Amino acid sequence: MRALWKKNGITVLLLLAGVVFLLLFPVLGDDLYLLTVFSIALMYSVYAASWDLLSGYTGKENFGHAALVAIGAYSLGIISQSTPLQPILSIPLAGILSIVWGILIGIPTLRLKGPYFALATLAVASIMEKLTLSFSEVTGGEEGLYGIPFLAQDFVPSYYFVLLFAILSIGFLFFLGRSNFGLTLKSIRSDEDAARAVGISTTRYKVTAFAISAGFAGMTGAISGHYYGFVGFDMVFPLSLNIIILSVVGGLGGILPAALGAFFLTYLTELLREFGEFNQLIYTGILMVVVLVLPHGVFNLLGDFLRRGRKHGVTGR
Amino acid sequence: MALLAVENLHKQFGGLTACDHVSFSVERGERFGILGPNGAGKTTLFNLITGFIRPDSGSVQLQGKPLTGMKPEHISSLGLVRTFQIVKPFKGLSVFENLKVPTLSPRMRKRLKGEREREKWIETIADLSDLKAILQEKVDELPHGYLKKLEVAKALCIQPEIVLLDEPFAGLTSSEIQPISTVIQRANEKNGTTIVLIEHRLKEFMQLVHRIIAIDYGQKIAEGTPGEIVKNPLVVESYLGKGGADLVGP
Repeated sequence: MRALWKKNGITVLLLLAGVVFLLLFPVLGDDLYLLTVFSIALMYSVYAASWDLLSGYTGKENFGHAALVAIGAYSLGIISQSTPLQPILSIPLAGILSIVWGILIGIPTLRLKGPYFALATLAVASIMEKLTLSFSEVTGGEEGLYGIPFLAQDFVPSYYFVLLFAILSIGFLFFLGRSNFGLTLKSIRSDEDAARAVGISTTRYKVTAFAISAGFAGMTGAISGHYYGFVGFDMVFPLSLNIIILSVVGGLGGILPAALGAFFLTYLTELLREFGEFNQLIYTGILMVVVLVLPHGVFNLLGDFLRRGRKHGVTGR
Repeated sequence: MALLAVENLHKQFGGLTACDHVSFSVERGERFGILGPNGAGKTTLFNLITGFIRPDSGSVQLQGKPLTGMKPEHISSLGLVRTFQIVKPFKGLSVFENLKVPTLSPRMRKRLKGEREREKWIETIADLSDLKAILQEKVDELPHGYLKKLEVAKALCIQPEIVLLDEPFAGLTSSEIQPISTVIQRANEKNGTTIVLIEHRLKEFMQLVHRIIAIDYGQKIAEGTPGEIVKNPLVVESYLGKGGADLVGP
């Protein structure tokens, strides 16, 4: 903790200021529209952070993160049709189910080298997408499933619920990434054979990372179900690609850059609505420029910049 | 009992016999050399011993324990570690972090309790490998000579019984070879680590090893001390050429 503070003082202060702002936001005004935007942006941050733990840290790009979200969201949606599940029960349940799913899918697929893991995850998500449509009596098909208990009676408590969940989840993933576990994942990203040569069971680490990643994706999926009171096809399956874009623009392999990228890009999408039919064009333009000019991600670069500024002042290196 | 016993190890890649019923054994504390022209099957032999490739037949035993069929991470966790000819540093990480990864293997988790002991051990190895001054540097910016040293240091970090070094001098100038040769000698003499070495830099190689096997076309063609090997007609013909005897001096 102390090392973190010493090296990244300014970054830590900025983050704290951001958290305080989000905590005070409902008190300062009653902009329900922005409150909703922030809630959604926070859920996307957790998606991105959870994706980053596997894909950013080990380099195994998951092209089907939506499948994990779907496990959480749809298990809640389907159970809610007969028994309304309260968040206190549904979130841990969604977490457990998606962890189990992550392990089952991870064990066979994470042995694959090169782009084959990405293809396998893409395939799993597409199969689930098709099955969701085929079994529409159970899944609601394109209509989706209604009747899910809301997170809370009002917008403000819902917002605080999502905010607290996001802070805890992203914080957990961030410190996990900085731990020895995260270091081992990074060694796998750099060279899997070299990691095995020094005694690291790389498959076990990758499957564990996938399971944790899946757990947070699934829990967030359930939370979004509660937030909208609804689970639907279009809410879940387009996420796979979105999450990758959000994380890559923010920056990989550090949890926070990906999470911040997701938050601000989601917010940006809302701002761009003003431009009407041009919003997609502008959004895509911004993405292309960012990827071309800042290939390591906006927030990775910003973090480096803040660190370097301090380093010059203190140690003169 | 020999520390490492390789018996009748055989591997065929299609029509090519990469390893042809090779047998040899390495005693504890030895510095053992494997000699042979390019493509003779030396690296394949390392890959077969360390579990990266499965042999068609034959066996490998470490302290009498059969390793055949085990995964590389389990073999290294038993104390048989290899390095790679083309260095494989963990990019994006510091030298310290590179050395920390091996300490997170099951073998070292048993031997080092907690972060303090881990850090001390890493410092010991960094000291032994002359990397202490650059522990906090990112490996991406290091010159090749340091990366070669780091490759050896990473292997030593798992406190191995035996290290297989695949051309630790390749790509280095003569002045860069001495420091890394010193590190290898120190690991052997101070820590008692057994060394198996593949190398093409013959002068340095001959000075470093006690015993040698020579390999050509996947077959063992000779075994002996450096003095015996340089006079062996088969080795001279396949690899050394006529000036071979000068390599070990009178």
